[in-house]
Amino acid sequence: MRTRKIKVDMLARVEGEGSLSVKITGDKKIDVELGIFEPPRFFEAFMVGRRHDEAPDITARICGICPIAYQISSSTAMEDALGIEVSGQLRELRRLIYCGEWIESHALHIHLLHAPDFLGYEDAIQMAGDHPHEVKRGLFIKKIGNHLMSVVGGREIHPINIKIGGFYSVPSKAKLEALLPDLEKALDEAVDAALWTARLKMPVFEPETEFVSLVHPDEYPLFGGRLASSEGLDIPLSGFLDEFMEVHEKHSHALHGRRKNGGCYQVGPIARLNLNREKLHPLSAKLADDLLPEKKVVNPFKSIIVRAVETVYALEEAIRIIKAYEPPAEPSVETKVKKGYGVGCSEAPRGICWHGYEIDDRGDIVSARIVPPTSQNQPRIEQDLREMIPGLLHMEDHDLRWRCEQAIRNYDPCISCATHFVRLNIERPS
Amino acid sequence: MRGEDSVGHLAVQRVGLSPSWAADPVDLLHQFGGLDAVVIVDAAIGPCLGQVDVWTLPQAKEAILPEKGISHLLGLREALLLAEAMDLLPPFLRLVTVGIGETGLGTEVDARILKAAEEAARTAERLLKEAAEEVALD
Repeated sequence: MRTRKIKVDMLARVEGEGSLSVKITGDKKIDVELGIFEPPRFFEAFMVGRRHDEAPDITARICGICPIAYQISSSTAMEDALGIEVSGQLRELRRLIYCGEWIESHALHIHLLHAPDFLGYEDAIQMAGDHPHEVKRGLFIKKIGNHLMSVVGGREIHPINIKIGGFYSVPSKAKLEALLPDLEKALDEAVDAALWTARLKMPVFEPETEFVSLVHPDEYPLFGGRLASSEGLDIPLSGFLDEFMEVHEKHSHALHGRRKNGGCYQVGPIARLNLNREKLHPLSAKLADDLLPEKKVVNPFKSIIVRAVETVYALEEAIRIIKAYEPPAEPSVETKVKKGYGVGCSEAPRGICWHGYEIDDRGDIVSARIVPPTSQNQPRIEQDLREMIPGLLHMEDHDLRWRCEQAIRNYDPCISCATHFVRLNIERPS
Repeated sequence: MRGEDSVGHLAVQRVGLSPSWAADPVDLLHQFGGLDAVVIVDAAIGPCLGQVDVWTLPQAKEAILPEKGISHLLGLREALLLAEAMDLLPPFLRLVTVGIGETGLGTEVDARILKAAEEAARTAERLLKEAAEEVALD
């Protein structure tokens, strides 16, 4: 029987180190392995015994792209364990810094990582020669997101100002208001970017899947609320491990997230939009209606448009928060150590990042569990490839490889995040 | 600050300027606008400890800037190549590198690196002076 192999030894334009292997036997059997060979990083193991208040800064190091996701998920999990709630302007400031992360991450992925796939360039450097305006726009929007993170978080990569209960210090109103002109300009640019992404030629592909994201009664989700799915799931954050599991596949250093029934699911921008479209602000809502009129977005290639809509939302939200900002009297809520278990979940740019911690009566961490978005999307990515490839067998290997890589980047995978947790089992001769 | 990775900041201080935090190398693109001459001082892994070298961009691409596919964090190589592709490079650009060793958090900076930071600062000043003279001659 004829066999065809497509191999990508080192995936480019994804964060971290991974590979792709596709084996096509005849015209029906498709074996797909998204190999993640970046070394395991054991964060959950070395968190044990550390103080609970170290969790935000330690887990932030899992990722240089989405440290806020880890800081907020771990902080809110610890607050859940300690029985405290962060509300009002402190909560708004958390949303503000999270907007900065979405803006910088989405702008980079749209313009420099994913757009080259649609336009036929090997990378952003090649694309920049023909499309300097678009690349400069991406870099400008990204810079504004980075700057927002610096102002609220102290620095843009691994910010140092987030703590359990709130912040170490809060910015003045004047300092935040000084950001408004750049944010307004970035908003105009982001709207242009959204219109531009909608003009890109979209491959047609509509797989069936379950979309999972946070939902909140009053806001487009960044953190907190409940977990919901397009198949009717609606659970508190504490119910995550009852509905979802992680399994080990031998070809990957990352665990694979699955529903308890074994099915795969999708997290990230498309899931968020499908479950929260009515919570967008006016400008992003209009863009969503105009550019994504379908009731439910199912084509994963349209993620680039959804990211652009979310970038507009994040800028609208940042501007709203700053205009209404009044510095809180205290930078954080007082915390008192007690034994407990708590969970937290936030929407990293790539999807839900769930944390669960048990702490003892001294405040030391007894157990830690972190489920990042890329490990949850990994089975979905492989399934997309299995479903997509049979319709593309007429393509030459180069074009088929290109489409497969483009399909992987629909999920903006962050492999460094996904490999932080693999358990190490050593068998030794007795 | 990550040990000897800080040598660029040390050199900037020795020129008498206050280093600003630019964690992302692509921020350089936003700073190139309107400048006639730019000297970038950066740590390099590979050359001998404390070795100071000067490179043009073509030389640096061949010899010192690591070959790496674009990841989410764009490095100095990607920043400079993007600037080149979009015609944003200043007319005069040099890269001054200092060979380093320890880059762990909180590690001490070797005395040879401190000396090299001084040499890198003087080299940068010399290069900028030469660039200014070239512009004046033009």
